[in-house]
Parts: sequence; C-alpha cells; structure tokens
Amino acid sequence: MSTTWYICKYTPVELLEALGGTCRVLDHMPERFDRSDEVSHPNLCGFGKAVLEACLEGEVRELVLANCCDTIRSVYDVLLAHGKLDFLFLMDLPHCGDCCAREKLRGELLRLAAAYAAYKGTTFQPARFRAAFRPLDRPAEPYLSVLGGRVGDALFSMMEAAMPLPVRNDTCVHNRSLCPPPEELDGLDGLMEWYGGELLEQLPCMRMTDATGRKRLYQDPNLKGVIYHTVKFCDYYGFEYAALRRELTVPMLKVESDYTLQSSGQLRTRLEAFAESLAPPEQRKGRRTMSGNGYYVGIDSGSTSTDVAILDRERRIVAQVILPTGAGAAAGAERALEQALAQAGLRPEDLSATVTTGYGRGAIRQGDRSITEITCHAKGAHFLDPEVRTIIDIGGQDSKVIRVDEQGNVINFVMNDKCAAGTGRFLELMARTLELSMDEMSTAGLTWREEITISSMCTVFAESEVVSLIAQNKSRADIIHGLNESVAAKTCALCRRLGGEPVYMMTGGVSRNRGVAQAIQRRLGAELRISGQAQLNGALGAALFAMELGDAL
Amino acid sequence: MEDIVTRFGALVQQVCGKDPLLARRLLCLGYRAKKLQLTAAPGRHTTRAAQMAAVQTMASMIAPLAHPERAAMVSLFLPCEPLQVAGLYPYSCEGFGCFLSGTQAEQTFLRYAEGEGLPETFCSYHKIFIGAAEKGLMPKPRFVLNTTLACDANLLTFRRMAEYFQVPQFVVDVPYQPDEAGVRYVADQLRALVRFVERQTGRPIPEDRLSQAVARSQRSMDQFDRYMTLRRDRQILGELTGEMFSVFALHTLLGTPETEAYTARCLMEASKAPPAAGVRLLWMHTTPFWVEPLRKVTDFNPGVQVVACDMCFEGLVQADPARPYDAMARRVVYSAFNGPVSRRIQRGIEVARQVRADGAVWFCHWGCKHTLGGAQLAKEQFEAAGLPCLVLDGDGCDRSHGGEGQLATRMDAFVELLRAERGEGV
Repeated sequence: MSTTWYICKYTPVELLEALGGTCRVLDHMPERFDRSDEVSHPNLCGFGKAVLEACLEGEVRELVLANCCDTIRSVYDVLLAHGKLDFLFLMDLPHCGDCCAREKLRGELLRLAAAYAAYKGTTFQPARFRAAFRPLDRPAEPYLSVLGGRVGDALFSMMEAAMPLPVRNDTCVHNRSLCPPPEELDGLDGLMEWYGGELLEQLPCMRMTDATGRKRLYQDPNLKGVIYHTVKFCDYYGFEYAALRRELTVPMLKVESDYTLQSSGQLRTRLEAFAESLAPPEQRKGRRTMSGNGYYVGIDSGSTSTDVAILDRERRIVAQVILPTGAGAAAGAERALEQALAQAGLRPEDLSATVTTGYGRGAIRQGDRSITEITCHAKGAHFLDPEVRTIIDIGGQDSKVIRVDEQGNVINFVMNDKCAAGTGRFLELMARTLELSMDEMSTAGLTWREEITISSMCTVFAESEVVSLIAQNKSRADIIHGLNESVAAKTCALCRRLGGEPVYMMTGGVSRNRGVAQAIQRRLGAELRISGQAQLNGALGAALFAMELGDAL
Repeated sequence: MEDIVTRFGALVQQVCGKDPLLARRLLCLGYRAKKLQLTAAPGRHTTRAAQMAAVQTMASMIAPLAHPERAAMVSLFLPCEPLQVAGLYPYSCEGFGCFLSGTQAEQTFLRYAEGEGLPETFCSYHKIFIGAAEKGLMPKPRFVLNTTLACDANLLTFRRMAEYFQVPQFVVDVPYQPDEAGVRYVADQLRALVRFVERQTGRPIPEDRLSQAVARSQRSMDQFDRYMTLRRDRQILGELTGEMFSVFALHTLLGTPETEAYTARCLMEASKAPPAAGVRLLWMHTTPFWVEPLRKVTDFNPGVQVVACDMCFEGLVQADPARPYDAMARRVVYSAFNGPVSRRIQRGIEVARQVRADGAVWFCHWGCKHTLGGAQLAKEQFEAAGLPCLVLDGDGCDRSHGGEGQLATRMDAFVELLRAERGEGV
C-alpha cells in the first residue's frame, strides 16, 4: 500500500486516513543534499532540503504539505517543477484561529478531500475518520523534552541513547495531538467545520500569530531538562530559544543541526556533556575493579594535539605531555601515554585508572571511561583555580564557553557551530596567509597602530579580506590586531549568549596567543586568568575523574 | 563624504552603548542633516524624481524618531492609508534596518541581536532593527501592525517587538492563494485593523478620506506602471540606493500626495529622457547598495542601468478606490510575492519585456528563504523566456557577509555577457 507523507502537525491526517490513505511523518535525515542543491539553494533550511532529497530520490511519491514557512513554500515550488510525484498538495494554513480563519481552513480541507478522493478513487468514511484520532498523553514520570525545530529520526535516537532520563520528542510535528469529534457530529461538511477548529486549536507552532500556548510544553512539573534543537537556516525556533534562555528553570542544552548526521561527532559531545551535567560522573559506577599503584591518567585527544596528564594519590602532576595528534587518535594517544609513562618513570601496571576525553576519546582503547571535554575542562579549571566561574576554551577545531559552579560542576555551556571562525584553525589559516608562525602570530599584533575591522565572520571571506588588506599595504601588526579582535568578538558573543560571569579563565591552545587573550580581556572588561597548565586543562580534568573513579570503588 | 558617514555610524554605535537616548537624538540629527543635503544639494546626476523619493523617505524616517507617540510600527507590505488618514507616522522596521546599514551603524546591532540568541541566518534587515530597538536606539511605537506577507521574518520580528515594547499588535493574515476569497478574507481583516487603530487613537478614520487616500495610491501605481512602459525606450541614470527609496515611496508611503507627485515626476522625466542606450538590468529583490564595487557598475552609468526592481512593482494592481478595503486587500493578495514563486518570476518576465531589460539579476539576500528557494527556478524560467539571469548571492545590508569582490566580478562578467549579446563587444 502506498504511503502519503506529511511534515506538518496541522496536516489533516485523520481526513486522509478516512479517504483510504496511510500516512507517515517524513523525518528522514539524508547523508548529503546533492540533488536538492542542484535545484534550489544551499542556504535553504536542512529539513526543506531533506524533503527535496527524499522526493527527488523517488522515496516519496505522495506528499501533503502545508505552507508552514518560506522554505516549505520553496520546496513546493521546486517539486511542482521537478518533483514527478503521484500526488502533491499544499494546504493553505491560516496564521490564527479566529472564525474567519476556521472558515478558510474548512474550505482548504474540502479542497484537499476532493483532490485526494479523486486521486485514491475513494469516498470519505466517517468511521475511519473517528478511528484515526490518537491523542497524545503527557508523561506522568520525570522526563526530558526535545523542543524547537524538528529533529530527525536518527538524531532523536542519538539523544535517547545519551540521556539518563526518558526523552520525548516535542518538536514541530511530533507534538501533534487531536481529540476525536463529538458523537453528535456527522456529514463531511459538519465534521470539517469542527475539524478545522480542532486542528487550529492544537498546541501552536511558532509560525502561528499567537504562540503563547507553547508554554504548556515547558511548564510541566515532570520536565527535568530541555534539549533545544534548531535547524540551520530555520529561524522560527531561534526566537523561542532566545526567550527560553531567560524563562526556563530547568537545565537546557542548545544544539543545532543541518539535518544531516555529518556533524554527529560534535553533537554527540554536547549531548553527552549535557547528560553528564544532569547526572554528574562521580555518581556513576566505574567499569572495572581498580588495581595499580595509585597513579591516575587523563588523556585529552583533540583535533590538533593529544595531551596526557598523570596524577599521583596526592593530586600532584607527575607527568604531562602535549603531542601533535597526527593521523589517528588511537595511535596519537598511545604515543603520548608512552612518553608520559617514561617521563614519570612508571610502567602501565602502575596506573590505577584512565579517563579519556576530547574528540578522539571514543577511538582510544586505554580508557576505563570516556567523559566529554566540557565536563573535564570544568573539573580541570576548578582544580587549577577554584575561583573560576566561566571557562573560555578555544581549541583547534572549536571554541566553547563553560559556566561552572563553586564545586567545578558544569552549569551550562555553548559551543560554536560547524564553523572555523573564532577557532585556532581560523588563526592558523590566517597565519599561513600572512606567512607567519603561530608564535609570531601571538605577539605580532600587539604593536598595532591603526584599528582595522575584519568584518567578515566567514573564514573564507576573512582570508580574502586579509589578502586585500595586504594589497593595500596595511601593516601586518594592524591586520593581525584586526584578526585578534575578530576572534575576540566571536568568543565574547558566545560568552554573552551564555551569561558568562567573572572569574574568567582561558584554556586551550589559543590561550597561548597573547594578542587574542588581550583582545578578549578588553571586550570582557574583566581579568582573564590563564594558567601555565592551560593547554593541559582537559587532560587534568580527565585525570581527576580517573582518581574519583578509583575512589568510588 | 564616506568618511563622515563611517565616523557618524561609529559614533552612533558607540554612544548607544552608554546613552541610547542621546544616540537616538544624534541619529535624528544626522538624518535631518542628510535630508537637508538631499533637498539642497542632491548630487549632480540625481534626477528630480529620485530626489523627491529620497527626501520623502528621509522625512518618513525622521518622523517616528522625533514623534514616536504618533508612530505605528509597520511591515513593508502593510497598506498604510488608514495611518495616513489617522495622522500617524508609519515606522518601518525594514526601512530602519536599511537606513542604519546606510549609516554604517549596523554591526553593533547585528552582533547584539545574535548575542541575544537570534539566529545568524535570520534576515539582516530585521536583525539590525531588533538589535537597535533592544539596545534602546529605536523608540517605543504606539502599536505594531504587520502582514504575514512576504516572509516569515514578519511574524517573528513584529511579535518580538510588540512583546519587547509592551504595545498592542494587529496582524493581517495574507492567505497563500491569490484569489477573490483571499481578497475578501484580507479586506475583512483590514476593516478590523481600522477599528483597532480607531480604538487605540480615539480618532475616527472616515471611509471617504480612506477612499481618497486609496485613490491616490491607485493613481500613483498607474503612473508608475506607465512610467515603466515609457522607460523602455529611454535612458534614465540612477543608483541602487534610489531603487530602495522608490520601494518605500511605493509601499509605506503609498497613498500620500508626495508619492503621487513622485510618480507623476517619474512619468514626466521619462518622456523627456534621451533614447535608451547601454545594458539594461531588471533587479529582483533588494539592492546591496553598500557594496561599493557593485555601485561602480550600476550607479549613474550610461553603460549599465537598473531599469526596474521587483520590490517596486510587485504590488501594482488595478482596483476600485471607491471600495478601499477591497483595493488595499487586492494589493497584498495579488502581490507577485504571494503564492508560488512562479508568479513572481512570471511578473518579472512581464516587466522585463515592458521595460526592455536585457537580463535579470536575482539577488539572493542572505536569510531570505523565499528568494533563495526560487533562485534556480528563476534562472531556468527567465532563460527559457530568452532573458539571461544572474543569481547573485549577497547581503542587502550586513557588511560582515562580505564577498564584495566576488559580487562585483560576477556582475562584471554578466554585463560583459549581455554586452556581447547586444553585439556591443565586452
């Protein structure tokens, strides 16, 4: 039997089923957007492109859309021209629920019913209509909710797997819920008049004029945390997120996807870190009985360097190694651990527990446990300086800001999104353009004279800007100062988004760049503490967790 | 001059951080000075019609800054005749986004809005305005009125602004289908909007005066349409900024005697203009007037002219001013921006033929999903109609989206292509 796919909760699914349809939500996350990019534009929202991919691949033959947003209207335009679907319908959905809007929607329902019945060769079956209503119950136990822009099936499974509590998908179409019609109503016209109102009275989505009813989603006493998801180039839910940052009283994690799984590594780190903040790692049991001679190892496998710290029982650092990661995370970690053991004069048997962290943590065999770098950075920073409340970590691949409490637990964090701007990689690329080493980059901007603004936030465009500035004979110091300011602006925006508070500490490889550190300090208007162990911070945090792992057993 | 603007923009941003009210007064002063300059010395090449549109738009920006108690915040596509009759100033969110960018004062507000959690991919006109409002630069309006046409940004920005300023909001829901039922649906809402404005201000909006304003709108649109027809054989030099002034004259200021005078002047000047010469471009969507290398191609250039912009002609419709609600509703429901994108493309092709354009530029303003989504279809359909089409990615007002060099190179190459097609050689 053919499937009629739909994407919007205002779709009259019960009507389509009453006309013989079998309906399913279209939530597939593709690998790439090759076909959709050919016929539309790369900067369309990822979900819209996913719908186009599914249709152009031939996976979808029947599709009912609503004019939810600009992207879906564009998807409809493209499918009209290139879709070759057996059935394609766009329902005009009002933005409000008043009498005129209900009347308008009733007309649309009848128009859809006529088109669908003609396509299927069926007639409206009132009994099937009534049977098709399946209202949702709210959970009676503690749970976490995914709110915001729609989450695809694969990403939602990843969220469920990572979280310590049941997770509910309350995004977009997934909170669709309608009660069955009153018994006394009959006849298509009468039922559609009621049905139009019922569809519009659902918990509103953000495209409706009055979205205040959405408060029901986050004012539930059983709700223990929120994962707020936005889709790149979908703007609706960014506005709700901005408001929830102030209103929400339970912990919230913001993640953004482009509706592919390509960024899963980065999202996984955030999800795990959020799960860790909901249930701190020291409350969880380790995996094996501890042996060894009371030495604890933390391995931080980053994109640029692999760092190892070994602590003894007295929390003294007995070895510290920072090596380039090289081609493989596992091999890099083995090499760094060997060097650390040699440095401390230890054998592998002396080690009581090992915790791995960083992007490559999943690939390393030596660890007893893996903990995200976010939680480890918080732990490490607290160890180095217990007064620290906000950590600014700029590494090679990403930058993040982490707020910690007086015990070194993560309160909240943000990370940059799939973009090199504001990271060590950005500075590396610019150093290459300016033919400078990273050490030279660190200080060369300190003697600047002219304020130059590198306005582009995009690494590629910023590189062209730097090339034009070189052509204009601008001094290298002034250009580098402009670049430092650009990184500082991006970082401080992240910091403001999180509500960063003093005392600030900077960690990660970029903390060694004096120009960037000074620019950040100026913008924050507060002291930025940089420890001599700043680059080792993640590994130190991991080693401290290794020690707690040993103590717990 | 550019240095003065740059310094002024920097000053407004800097002062706003410490004293937003002072920054607002500064901005108002700067705009008054600019209006004076446009009135007294508009520039050697500026036509009288272009000067009229610029001065009228400038005045409409000053009014809400100077008298916010008489200002109603509006979206670009909202019919504003009821406000004119009620003696209120339309306070254009997109207009200020555009003007703050023109003042080179946009970056602080953009970054502030993004820092507040608004998406980086959101329309930059709206984002600049939100940032400026929430940093205290923009004054509190009397109330907020907006349509759901032409994009999602309307729903988000105006709801947020109504909540931020704690003022009432009225939304006109424009249905997707351009048909007579839609006209009736919107006309009913416009009646309710008039009642809303009357309630808020305590002033009646008599229907005869509304009809007079709508009649002026119809005459203005008719004159502008005739001007486009006349322009087919004429060479009129202008600038990208001028197209944006014209957009405001034909939207928020449509229905005013000034707009009627402006369109009459366009018609008169076109009849006296020299014969057509040079490459003629149809521009689809907003113009990135801040991109200097692009302006070198299009501004006051006898070799290349933008002869029409779809933001100016999307809503030109025939209607009966004796039925003012129907006429205003017809303008938004049958707007080329409503319904499938093919309507907008077909309207572009029609006008390209009307003004004898050699090719079309489909400008994908960052964050405008409707325009982005239709880009490839536009290219296909324009080219099938024998009109070369350049899809140009950029940003109408955010300098940080950069790519000036790339924009200019693409535009230069397109002009060379069109010249070759005209047999003029590159």
